[in-house]
Amino acid sequence: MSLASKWVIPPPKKTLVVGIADKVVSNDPGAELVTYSLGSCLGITLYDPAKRIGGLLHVMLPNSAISAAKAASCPMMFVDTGVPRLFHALYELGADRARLVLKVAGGAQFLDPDGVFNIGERNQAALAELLRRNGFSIQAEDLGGVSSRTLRLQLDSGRVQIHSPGRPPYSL
Amino acid sequence: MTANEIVAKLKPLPVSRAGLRLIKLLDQPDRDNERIIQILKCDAMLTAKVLRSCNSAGCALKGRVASVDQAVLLLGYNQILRIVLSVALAEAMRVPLKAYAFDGNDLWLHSFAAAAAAETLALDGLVSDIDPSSAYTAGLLHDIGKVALHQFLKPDLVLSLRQQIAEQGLSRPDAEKVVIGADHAEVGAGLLAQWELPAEIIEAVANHHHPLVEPRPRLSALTFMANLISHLAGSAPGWESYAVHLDGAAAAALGITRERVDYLVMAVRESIERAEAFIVVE
Repeated sequence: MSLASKWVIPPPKKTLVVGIADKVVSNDPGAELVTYSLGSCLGITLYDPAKRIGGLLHVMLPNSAISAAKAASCPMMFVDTGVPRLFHALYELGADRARLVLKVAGGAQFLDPDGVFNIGERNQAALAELLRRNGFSIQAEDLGGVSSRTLRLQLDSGRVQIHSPGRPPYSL
Repeated sequence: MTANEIVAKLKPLPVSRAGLRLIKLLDQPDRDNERIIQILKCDAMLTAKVLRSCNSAGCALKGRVASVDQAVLLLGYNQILRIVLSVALAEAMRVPLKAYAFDGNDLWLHSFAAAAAAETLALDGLVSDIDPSSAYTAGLLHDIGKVALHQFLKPDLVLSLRQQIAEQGLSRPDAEKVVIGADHAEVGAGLLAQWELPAEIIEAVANHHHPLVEPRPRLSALTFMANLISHLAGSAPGWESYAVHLDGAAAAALGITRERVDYLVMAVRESIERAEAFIVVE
């Protein structure tokens, strides 16, 4: 028996952190993608269970029309420019659209009866409209409320976990 | 307990007195460099930290500042104030606050995000009568009452506070009022009054959840909006961080429409990223 095969300690889990207005995709089944402090922002996970390829996107605003310059320099800030790029990045790794599973969390709202700033809701609406136009549906969601969320996607299983401060984590 | 009772019973926060005297110069237009240098020199620790900060990689003057006199002459009051705020308050504000589910850097980073947001709003043409340095200072200090209130928020009180939010749909400040008798804005203002900071800063912190539209300048309305926009731009630590009332009248008074707000969130995100690069969490 060679020396190496005596060592059965599994390799450490790789945590890839997705910043605000950022995305990460990976085909490493040992990796976990995580994004922190989702408030009114949306965290969107996309996963191909057959190939164990996944991605996580953290968008902040619904529509890139407010700034062409920002849309070019930081497309992951916006729903309309970020979501298509998430899909394409997974296709490039070999994911199949028919198998892709999309889950979304975030979209918190201030106590705002007049809806002055309903960015959380407008982010949700922009995502729903974009997916509807492309004939794609959301498989699971955890949206709204007044709490921030941390969102994790495990690439070995496709498990999506949400953690809000002061509550036990739950799966989506 | 009232806000005054809480402030009176408070264990003193570790804040540089010289740093506070420098903030007091905000509402004294006749401040001159001599006076700033004199104040800084009263606190050797603060001076050393200011010099270290001036010479750090993030500062344009890196490696070229040998004395306080030089730093003040080169940077001027507004820049010196920002550096002093970042070193004079760190010990008091860079602390974990369990009752709010803040880890050691959460309040500190959120305070800088709100400061950067307030400065951005003050410079964005929404107001013409607010000094960007006052806006920055109010933003940085808006939640300092949480440090004070934390000393009194025992676990059972935290539990009932969170129940008020979840079951009664109260905002966090309103829940604090029900459970303790005062909210973090009032307590923060009481603390700043004890430190004898300028009245406009105290007023802005006191009303940052119940902004005043009149009289002008509308520093409390600006601080209120800066806090909310920093939340929308990704700085919302702790639990139930969106349990805050949005005052449409304050937004309207500042000319912040639904069309404008997305643009401001984007601009504030950029300022937050610059601020985070400046403070460098060790």
